Amino acid sequence: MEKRHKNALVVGAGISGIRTALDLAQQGNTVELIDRHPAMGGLLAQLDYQFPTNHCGMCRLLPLTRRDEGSQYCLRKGMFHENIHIRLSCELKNLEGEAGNYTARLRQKPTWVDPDRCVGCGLCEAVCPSEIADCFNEGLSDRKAIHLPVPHAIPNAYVIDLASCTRCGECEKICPADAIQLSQSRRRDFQILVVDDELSIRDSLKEWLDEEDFSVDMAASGGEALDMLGKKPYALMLTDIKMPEMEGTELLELAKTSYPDLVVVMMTAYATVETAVQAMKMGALDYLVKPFDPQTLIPMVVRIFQDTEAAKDLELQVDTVVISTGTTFYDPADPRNLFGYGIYPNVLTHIELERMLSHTGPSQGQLVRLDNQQQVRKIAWLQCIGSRDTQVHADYCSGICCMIALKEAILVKKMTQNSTDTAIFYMDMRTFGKSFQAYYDDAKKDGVRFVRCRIHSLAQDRETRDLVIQYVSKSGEHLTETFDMVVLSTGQRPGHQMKELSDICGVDLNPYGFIQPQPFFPAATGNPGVFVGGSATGLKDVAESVIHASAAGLNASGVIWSHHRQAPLTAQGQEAGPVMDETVRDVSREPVNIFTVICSCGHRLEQEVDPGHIMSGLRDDPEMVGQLVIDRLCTAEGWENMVSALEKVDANRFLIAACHPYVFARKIKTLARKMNLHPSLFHAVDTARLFWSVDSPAKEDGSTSGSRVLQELFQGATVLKHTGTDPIMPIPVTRRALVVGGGIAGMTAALSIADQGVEVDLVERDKSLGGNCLWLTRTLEGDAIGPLLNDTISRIGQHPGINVHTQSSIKDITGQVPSFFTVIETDEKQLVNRSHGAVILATGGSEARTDSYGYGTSDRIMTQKEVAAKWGGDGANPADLGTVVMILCVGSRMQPRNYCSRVCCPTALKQAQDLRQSNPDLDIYIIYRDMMTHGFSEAYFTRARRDNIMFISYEPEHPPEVETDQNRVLVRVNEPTLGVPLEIETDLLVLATGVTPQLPDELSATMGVEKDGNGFFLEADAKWRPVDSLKQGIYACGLVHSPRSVTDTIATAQAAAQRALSILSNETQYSGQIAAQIRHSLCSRCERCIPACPYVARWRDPEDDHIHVNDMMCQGCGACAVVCPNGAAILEGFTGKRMLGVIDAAFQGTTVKEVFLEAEK
Amino acid sequence: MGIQRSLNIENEDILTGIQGFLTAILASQDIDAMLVPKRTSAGHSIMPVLISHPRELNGVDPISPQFPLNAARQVSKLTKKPSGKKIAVLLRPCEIRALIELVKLKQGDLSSLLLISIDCPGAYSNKEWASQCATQDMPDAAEFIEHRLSGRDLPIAKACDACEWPVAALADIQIGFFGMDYRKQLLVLFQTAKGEMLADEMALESVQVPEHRSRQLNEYISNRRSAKAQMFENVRKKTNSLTNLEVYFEACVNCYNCRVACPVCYCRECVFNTDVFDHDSYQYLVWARRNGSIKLPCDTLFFHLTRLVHMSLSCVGCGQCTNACPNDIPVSDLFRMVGEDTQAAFDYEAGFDPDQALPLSEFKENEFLDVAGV
Amino acid sequence: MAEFNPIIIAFVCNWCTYTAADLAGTSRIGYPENVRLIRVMCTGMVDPQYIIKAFLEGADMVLVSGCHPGDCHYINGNYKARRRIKLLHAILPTIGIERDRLKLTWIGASDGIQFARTMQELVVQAKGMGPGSGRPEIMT
Repeated sequence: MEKRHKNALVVGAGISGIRTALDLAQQGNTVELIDRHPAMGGLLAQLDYQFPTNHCGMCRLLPLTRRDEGSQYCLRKGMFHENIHIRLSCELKNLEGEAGNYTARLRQKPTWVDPDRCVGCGLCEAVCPSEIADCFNEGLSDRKAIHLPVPHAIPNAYVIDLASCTRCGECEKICPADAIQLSQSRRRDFQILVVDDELSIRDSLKEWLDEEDFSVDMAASGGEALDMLGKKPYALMLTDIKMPEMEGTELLELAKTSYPDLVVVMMTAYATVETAVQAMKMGALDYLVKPFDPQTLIPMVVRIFQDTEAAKDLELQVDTVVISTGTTFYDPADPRNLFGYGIYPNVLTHIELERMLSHTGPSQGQLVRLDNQQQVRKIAWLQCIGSRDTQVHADYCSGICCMIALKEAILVKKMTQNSTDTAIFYMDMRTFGKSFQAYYDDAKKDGVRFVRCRIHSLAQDRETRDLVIQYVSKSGEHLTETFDMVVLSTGQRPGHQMKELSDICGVDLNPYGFIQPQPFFPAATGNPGVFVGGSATGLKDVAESVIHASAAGLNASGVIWSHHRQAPLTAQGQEAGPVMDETVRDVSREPVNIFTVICSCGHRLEQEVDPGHIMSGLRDDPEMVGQLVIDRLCTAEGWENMVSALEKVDANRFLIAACHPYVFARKIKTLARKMNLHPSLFHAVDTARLFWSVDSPAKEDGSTSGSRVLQELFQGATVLKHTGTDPIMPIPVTRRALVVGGGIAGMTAALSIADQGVEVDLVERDKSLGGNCLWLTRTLEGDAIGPLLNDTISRIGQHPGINVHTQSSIKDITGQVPSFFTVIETDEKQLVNRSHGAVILATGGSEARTDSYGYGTSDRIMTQKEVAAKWGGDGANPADLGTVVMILCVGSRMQPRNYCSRVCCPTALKQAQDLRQSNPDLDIYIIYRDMMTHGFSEAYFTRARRDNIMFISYEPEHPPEVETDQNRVLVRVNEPTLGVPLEIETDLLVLATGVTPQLPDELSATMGVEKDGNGFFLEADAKWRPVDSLKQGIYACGLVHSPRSVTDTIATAQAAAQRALSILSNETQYSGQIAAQIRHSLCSRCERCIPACPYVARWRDPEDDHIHVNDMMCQGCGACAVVCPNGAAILEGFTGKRMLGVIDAAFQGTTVKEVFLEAEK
Repeated sequence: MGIQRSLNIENEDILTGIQGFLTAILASQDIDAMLVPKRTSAGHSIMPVLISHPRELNGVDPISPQFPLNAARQVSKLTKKPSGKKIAVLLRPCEIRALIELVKLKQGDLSSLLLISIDCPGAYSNKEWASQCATQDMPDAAEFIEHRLSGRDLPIAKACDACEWPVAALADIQIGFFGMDYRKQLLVLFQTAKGEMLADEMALESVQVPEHRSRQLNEYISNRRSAKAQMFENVRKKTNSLTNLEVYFEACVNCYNCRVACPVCYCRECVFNTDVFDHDSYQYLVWARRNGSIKLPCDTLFFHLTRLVHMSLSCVGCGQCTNACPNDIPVSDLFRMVGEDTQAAFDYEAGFDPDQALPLSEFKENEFLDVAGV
Repeated sequence: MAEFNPIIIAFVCNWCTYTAADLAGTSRIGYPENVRLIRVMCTGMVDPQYIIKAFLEGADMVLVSGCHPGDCHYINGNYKARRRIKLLHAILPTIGIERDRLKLTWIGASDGIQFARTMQELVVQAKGMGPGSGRPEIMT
């Protein structure tokens, strides 16, 4: 068994696993990233469009620092990073040990196609006879048994779904790379022992299994079987239960005692199924009920073969484990199947619709009815399918289905040029996240219809197959409407085999089967070295997943740090730095000598073109000194052949032509290191596109394709001729952090960073730390906030690495990452100068003020905060209250604060619950718009309704009215269901006014961070970089980022800390190879490049009067170079000279005159 | 609206009158020096001269039909780095407009400048001036203005003949002859706060802008517009294909004088002079083989087209590129025409508003949606 | 008679359109060999000079293609590119290079089919327009 050591194991390579892995890797930790699927990306591999841009942009998740250590291409294709080892088709099977020292057992399932050999040519797919539903397209299209797991991944090796494989062997025969190993011999090695007293059964089993190429022996009794087990090793024993001499169960027991690894399957008659179940408890893997046919037996044996014999187990020593296995979705074809899913062809789930809308989907992005392929004209979404439904054991909200439906409706509108009618049938529109409300408003503007109702039924018209929705409107009317297509917004369900995984990892699940995090610490589980990120604790949108993933990363890196205590971390994990040391050969003064290696791609090259023509074409250029054709460079063998050939070659630049140059990035680095050359002296160009995707017209002599290959080669040669080999200089990092704001967010961030050996200045404007936690008492779930606060403050106080500056403020911040210069004004009005490598903004927010609903006219009208102050503590007695009315969304989700403050609905429920508990006779009315009890807080909403708390909804156009006089407060509101106006005389009116951010203009200006339209911190990217500022090195968390609960605040704080640590954990940082440079002697100081830089990486220094680039901030987009008319600003790697050369190369082999004359002929 | 005054010159010629006025301005406490077009000692040329002593204003000549170079570049030199001094500059309208573009490109600074301009009657090309100078007496300023206003056939440079902006929009102080009895009196407009501050020191008579001014100006502009239309029509025919464009530039020897003369070509060194265009020897053979032949020096059209991309949005149509061409290529005719198209595409007017961002320095999310698409 | 075979130079961004081209390749969706891809990091770095160069070298059509609006890896490079194409659309027709010979498209990473279709469509259009005027006999 392989044994390896890594700092962290990340289970699940969806977006959250990727984020966690990258965060840890950027710090310098080594990571094993595994996924049970044969491709990475999780759910997002299937989603082409995501809220709020309605496009992708996933690549923005890639590291900004030390970029060259990771991939620099579309992340949906896959990725690599120097510090991350990715293992696909792999599951965690066992975990032992403790935080800092775990042994993980991983099982890697075979895909039957060797990914190191498969060249992705697809010949196998063409000959495969077995067609089954394509799960990537949610079963809406077909695929072969041998297939690409996702269409866009690179490297994209084929895999075989053995369950649907007929084992005809055609693929194996045609494979030019010998990559397919369905080979019979391995099955021959799989020894099966069949034990049955009936000869006929033994014989037929042997016959079936022989047919499948397994090796089968037979025993007529338990005794005989035990004898045979002693003679040679068997992998699988199939045994009857009822046998005269020795019962199958006894045989099982004896066999398992001597041969614990033996897999046993019981065969039983229907009457003795119970015994079989008993046997499974004794160690049998499974059972078969007699009589059975080969269709039952064979797949089971194949599965066992695949799972045990063919699977490769390996052990991994890790410090910590992060679970990011995501969720699955409710299957609407459950036994009740109220919506005809799977029966009515035009009923889809939302994920199926996503596939319909994708260009790689079953209809290539066309929205058509599945029964007749006609354009969909009317489409409806039904919300809360399998969510907020106690009948399917789902007393929770799935959190993101409202946004998914909004997005899909907007997309449908856009893709059909507004010609499709879109309607969303919902109970509450849960637009609780940052910017969700504006998105909802946009959807309304786009003409998406919103129908607030309860669905009665969905039926299909027999003739037209149209779908008829019956529903009960808000005012109690029974209505029907007909649609072409209905989308079921199916809710979340726990991730695949979550129970098993939780047992393995020793973590708790909540009653619904999701991982239960620790109170206030959303990434922490019961196991101190195991953390959870992303949706495994409940469905999250991209931004929240990414935040929780970084928070999990922080927890994991904390464990790694505390078990290694090495500064910097770089020393422990880094496999190789980006800088070549002085042993690298300096070729800058040598004449250019380019050696070319061309992959013949399974001799495809010779079929398509005349290699001689290519060679002589290359030789024409005096700088192209040698050429070599090697077969299948993409295979390990081919690569090795090339490496040994190149070592004998006298050249200083190497051009490699093969398929998918992406794949070579990592190998080239290793090769360059081996040959003592700078990696940019190697360049790979893509020939796959030429051979496979070029739709060639009939060719007589093959010369056309030849010139295409030549063009591609000369383009590559031009790159090499103009490649820069200057070493990338390390940038020293100021390993000290600034945290602005001493609420729970700032304190958590400060502790998180200081706990990993980086000193922190924590600046708080008030006298004491604590922020809003000073007045908050308890969460909706009942967790007390006081102890959390006290514990946090005392840890801060005792921490030697945290310098607390209370009654202080930031006067000035200059410089950039990784060295900011900060001026702090202290309580004694003294100015303190400090340097920081990163800054965390945690200035918080406060309860919004209001003057509506009679606030201020009576002391019976209070805000939620005032209620907390009066009745929040223990022992408060609201006995004198008879009636309480709460109005939600006061000034929220409309002007002046057109966003959801997210905490008010849970607070209202909590306060109602608390008041009712102290005073059971209290009448409570909650007047609301949409109850935002997303996720598992939904249960409290259910409970409140059960407890007869009255909920009355209102529309913003018709808000409740409040009348006050000396002793009473009267609330008038329209009861929508009854349709009558209600008058409630109340003793207390609670107004939920929401949250406003605290981000003074002077502070945001000096930091160079921007605010969104509502005054909150503006993220670098709402989805992919949710706690980062566009100005690198500055992060935000807590209420200044967006309204959120204490727990969600801690998630952002930990995320921000982890992002900051990705810079601060390293003594040095590096720019990328492709980066902006300035030729000062040419520069006219016009400064056009400064605003052109989207990363704020450029400035003019008055001291030397030069334009400067911050190498860490520059991401190499070239926006600066293109605004510079004379090439004073250049993009190294894409200089003007190189680009013009590449354009010339693209015309290689064409003779303008001839083409011209030909056309005239 | 500003302050309107008249400059009485009944007893002297125009240039002397202007000289007196400039002397008064230079005497102002605020002004440290003054850049004016002045006749060289031999009298054959008129060059921008930076003057600190009033006696040096002798020979100032902003009206004679010579325009050897666009002085915006010189003003750029004077203001690119703060000197702490105030400078008055007397510029033609197109020089002010070029200066505004240079300011947007951070090549100059308006805050230390007092911009003075005079209604512009246009000028001869440098070659024409030289040959006329050599053979005959040049008309004096008043005569020249008179000829221009009467539409008399003069060897005016094409750029000037087609110039629609004889009056500067942005000058702090504008001296005008359109609509005036310019042998007796010139109009002086103090148009900005900066200009107004000087108005009282100047001791000039208040005056109403004569109605005749805008009429005469419009008529003049309308004539220029027809000349421009005619010029564009000719150019269009000559440049409507790359083959024709090649003929248009056939005499070009890649001297890059046009870009040196161009006031808004602000690069320290043109990209065509840098190593980007320092081709490998092998490359010339590749090109020659591909095309059958290659003219050397090459990259001629490439240079001109690149320059169109780089500066047509800022082109003020001053005509100095044509003036500078040793081989009489009408560079300006083409650049002016393309500049009008490119500026219209972005609803941009070069040289009018220092606060209007350069079109390629900004963008909006929802604009020019029709640009993308198959 | 030999058919007119146009040359189309396509500047494609590393993150979206190049990925789409790659996806077209792995999906075995053909695109015509008239199209020659030049990979750039971002459409926002495509200097108009490169486009002019391509036309002067004899391209019958030039395409610049990148991420959809809002999708740019570098945040806003595609918006900047759009302005530059707008500028060239104002310049090139004057010198006989019709507006339709310079295209800007947004082709996302998963739009492999769209990429292939767009390329096919461009070839059809380029053939319809005939040789560009950038094919004079003496190139400068």
